[in-house]
Amino acid sequence: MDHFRLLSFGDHGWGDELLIGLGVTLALAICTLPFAIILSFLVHWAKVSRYRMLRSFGMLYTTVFKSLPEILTLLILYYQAQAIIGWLIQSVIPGAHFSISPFVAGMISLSLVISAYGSEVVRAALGAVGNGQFEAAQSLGLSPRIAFIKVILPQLWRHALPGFGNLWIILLKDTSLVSVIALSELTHVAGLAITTTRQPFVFYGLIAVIYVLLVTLSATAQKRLERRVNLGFTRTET
Amino acid sequence: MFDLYLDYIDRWSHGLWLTASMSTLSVLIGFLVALPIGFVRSRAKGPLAWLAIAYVNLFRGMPLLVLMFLVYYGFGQFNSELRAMGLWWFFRDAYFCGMLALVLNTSAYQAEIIRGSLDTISTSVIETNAALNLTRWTAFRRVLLPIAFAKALPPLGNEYILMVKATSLLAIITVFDLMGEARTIFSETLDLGVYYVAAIHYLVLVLAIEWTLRRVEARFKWMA
Repeated sequence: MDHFRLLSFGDHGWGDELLIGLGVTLALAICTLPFAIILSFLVHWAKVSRYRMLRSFGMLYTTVFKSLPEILTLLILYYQAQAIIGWLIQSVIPGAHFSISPFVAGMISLSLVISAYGSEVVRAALGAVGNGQFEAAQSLGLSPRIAFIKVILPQLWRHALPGFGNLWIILLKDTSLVSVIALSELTHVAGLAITTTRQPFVFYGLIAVIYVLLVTLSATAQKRLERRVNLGFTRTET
Repeated sequence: MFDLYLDYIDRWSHGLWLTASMSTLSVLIGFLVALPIGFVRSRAKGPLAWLAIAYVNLFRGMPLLVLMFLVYYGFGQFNSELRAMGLWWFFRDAYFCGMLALVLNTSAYQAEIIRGSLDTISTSVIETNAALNLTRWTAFRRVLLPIAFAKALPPLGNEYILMVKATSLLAIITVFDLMGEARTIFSETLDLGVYYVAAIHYLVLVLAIEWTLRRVEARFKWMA
């Protein structure tokens, strides 16, 4: 059939290009996740800090990044970072040129947005572990840092998993927005394929299916992980 | 930055109006679509339930941007067939296509919210309905639905805010909402301040909606 030729690998088809696009999509999501999680903790700590400045900064951070559309955050960050860093480099080395890569811009803005939601996941998970654990660790003479790493974090994981799992799925889907600043991930590659082949339904339909599969796969993996980490805590449903 | 707002005030207010109206409309239509799907997800078994699961997983699983492209550009590929069916006026228009994509997306999420709130109504309520000899339809309409609605109100409010943000994607398929207006003004002025003006619009709009939602939620809290 004609459509199979469109999706074949090699010079005539778009199969290999789409596969690379899928790789970029996954790479972006996977690279963003650790930063987003670390930022979530930092934002949460800012929000419960004993310094008032830090607390209001944390509040402002979540309000802003939860209210702005992801695409607007992305565009502002992409152009503004370009302008500021370009200006800085110009003042050091006149005539030098700088451009931020869409991949990095996507990573930063997605981390910002996801961590705004993630800080609430952290808050809920810490609340579920309870302050008593921390106090007990301290009374045993553990330093706050060790107490957090050795006592709180291993217990936190179980409670934070559903929240971060959902955020991972949101992150996976939000990578499609980075196509707007011309990162050649899945959605962008499909757009390119359509400009030459004029088969929008085939390509957009195909990538829609790919995204649905990725999300379904993630959700299944998440459910299995949750069952695993909850072994011994809750009755497992059959 | 302030003059960027004043110079283009007509366009900004048009964009704001479009963003507010399209997101509100899509949430309301989406709710009507989601109600039967959520009910089926909560109560039904068999083929109907599978259909509902497929609907929810399909439209929650793909990015809204891809869904918009699929509806607007994808269906455009069949313009002769659509013309023959007399549906071309719908799929030709970016507003209608964007609206359809938004409704499909939000109804899938709202269906899960409605399912969740129907599932958490305690069995004693259902037993009380039986004890009062209410017919199933009356019990559903007068008791279960109001309780489910009160329970669903906070997550539905979140969904509304997510939709306000999601309408910004309409700009990519040439709808002139806030984001669309910002993009055209930016292409004329090449001033980054334009996006900050748009950001302030979104911030104010979302905060205003949140404030309103909190007041509405407070009124329904006793029932949830």
